[in-house]
Amino acid sequence: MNQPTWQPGNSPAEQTALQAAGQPGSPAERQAARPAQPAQPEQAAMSHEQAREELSALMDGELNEQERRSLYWHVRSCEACQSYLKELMELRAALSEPEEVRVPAGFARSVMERLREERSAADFAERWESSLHPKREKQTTRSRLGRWAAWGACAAAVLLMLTAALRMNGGGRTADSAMVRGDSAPAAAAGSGIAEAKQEAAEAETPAAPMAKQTAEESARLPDDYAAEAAGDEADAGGGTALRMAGAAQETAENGAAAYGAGETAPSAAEADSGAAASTAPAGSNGTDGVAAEGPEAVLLGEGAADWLVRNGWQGESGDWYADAAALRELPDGLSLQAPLPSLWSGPVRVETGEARR
Amino acid sequence: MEEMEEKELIERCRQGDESAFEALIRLHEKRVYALCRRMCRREEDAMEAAQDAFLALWRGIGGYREDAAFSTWLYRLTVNACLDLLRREKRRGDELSLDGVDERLRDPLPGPEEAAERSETARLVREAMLSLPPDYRQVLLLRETEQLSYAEIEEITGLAAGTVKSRLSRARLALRNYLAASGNFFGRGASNRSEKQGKEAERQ
Repeated sequence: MNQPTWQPGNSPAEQTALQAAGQPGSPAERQAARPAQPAQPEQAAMSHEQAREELSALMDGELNEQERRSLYWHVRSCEACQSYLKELMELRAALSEPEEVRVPAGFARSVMERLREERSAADFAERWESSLHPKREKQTTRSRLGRWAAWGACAAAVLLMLTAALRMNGGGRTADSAMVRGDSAPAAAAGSGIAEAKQEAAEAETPAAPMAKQTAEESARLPDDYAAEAAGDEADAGGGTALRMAGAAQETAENGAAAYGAGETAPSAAEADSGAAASTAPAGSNGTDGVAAEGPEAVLLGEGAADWLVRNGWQGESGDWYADAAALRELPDGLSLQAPLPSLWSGPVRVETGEARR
Repeated sequence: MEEMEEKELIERCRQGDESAFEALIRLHEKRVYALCRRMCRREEDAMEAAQDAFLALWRGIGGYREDAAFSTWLYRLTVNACLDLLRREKRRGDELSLDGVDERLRDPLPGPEEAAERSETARLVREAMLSLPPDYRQVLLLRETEQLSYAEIEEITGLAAGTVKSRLSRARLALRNYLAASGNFFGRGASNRSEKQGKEAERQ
């Protein structure tokens, strides 16, 4: 085991250095002469910056024997570093002054409070999501058919409404702008009409069946007739038109699904209606039910989600974060939304980042 | 509930037992809150960060594995909660700085209770600590206040070996410079000498 030799000037490296310097060794000159390749590690000269770092680690008891020797070799002849070490010790003493920190009363309870708040907010967000985007649960072929049929009927219904609105407004404004402004009665009435139909379908199971059936039966007409009829209708008949269209959607769903079980088709009718509500309700609509009133929310998943949100979104007054729907549809690799945005939505979306629920 | 061993409490938390969670909070709140209090300038921030840390614990308890020390994990959650909060506060401060100085980021005037609590030295040291960047503050606190080893700090912060060592040294140097500049902090008379020598040494 190598014994440390503390007598200056007797190591081979030092001899070489001294010869190079051409003078008998003095403390300052010994420090100045730095051998390029130290013969033994503990003889390597140390810069002051490095010495400070070593002193810091020495205080923490994190130096091994070799490192301690190296350090000693430098510090023994360096007053600046000796003073620095003293200061580090004083610093430590100052930091160890026990600072009395009292935990605020009721802290544990405040954490539980927040836990409950977050949970109820999460529940609400989930219910909102599922009302816009029906979960893909196990479906029988029949009800799936029924749903597609209902969507198809819905699309037709939407087209009809557009046509109707166009004719009613005499072509001066586009149907879209009429809807977006929300001041056109048909749009508003349609919104509430459809919402009504949806509500009725969603709430009741068995009761909805006969009701939907009734609505469907009331309007035995084919879609083509609606356009002609709507053209001549007063504005506030739009609600009735919507109801009938919703009824027509349900009727088709009925036909698509062989068995009209209230449990099966009522939800699909509700989904069809919610689809209609989502696609026809304009941004910031004055729908009476508040379904479309607040705007959608989204959950952003993936590493770097928070960073993306900070860069591409903004923070509202409540502390919630928002991003533009357009931006959310063009996410970089690695990021994704837990559920797709409503297809016609453009505008701000409240965004949360997080782990996928379930 | 609190007499139960920590292990059992953790297991119950995994099963969603909220009362076990509350007991776990009470077991560790002092340490967590104290660390947050030293990391954050404002008491409200310390409170929020401490809550965040425990909520993160609850959310992540399913993924916690027994082989890692529980305290190490809790430390990690705590420092991350503090760093996240400080980052958020800084951003908010940047936004507000367009309109004017954000009052919240200013030094809060010490209330009578605060003043009584702390000696002048302690207050000065706290200010020095808060002048450090959060990344440096955290390693210094973990080392000095929590008495953790370099290896433990590396595990908690995820920093590479050697980084903790150099970061601690730089934090101490910064602290030392701050305190030296603020007056007669270091040993009477000796501080002037070491200042001069330090400057000479640096020139070499």
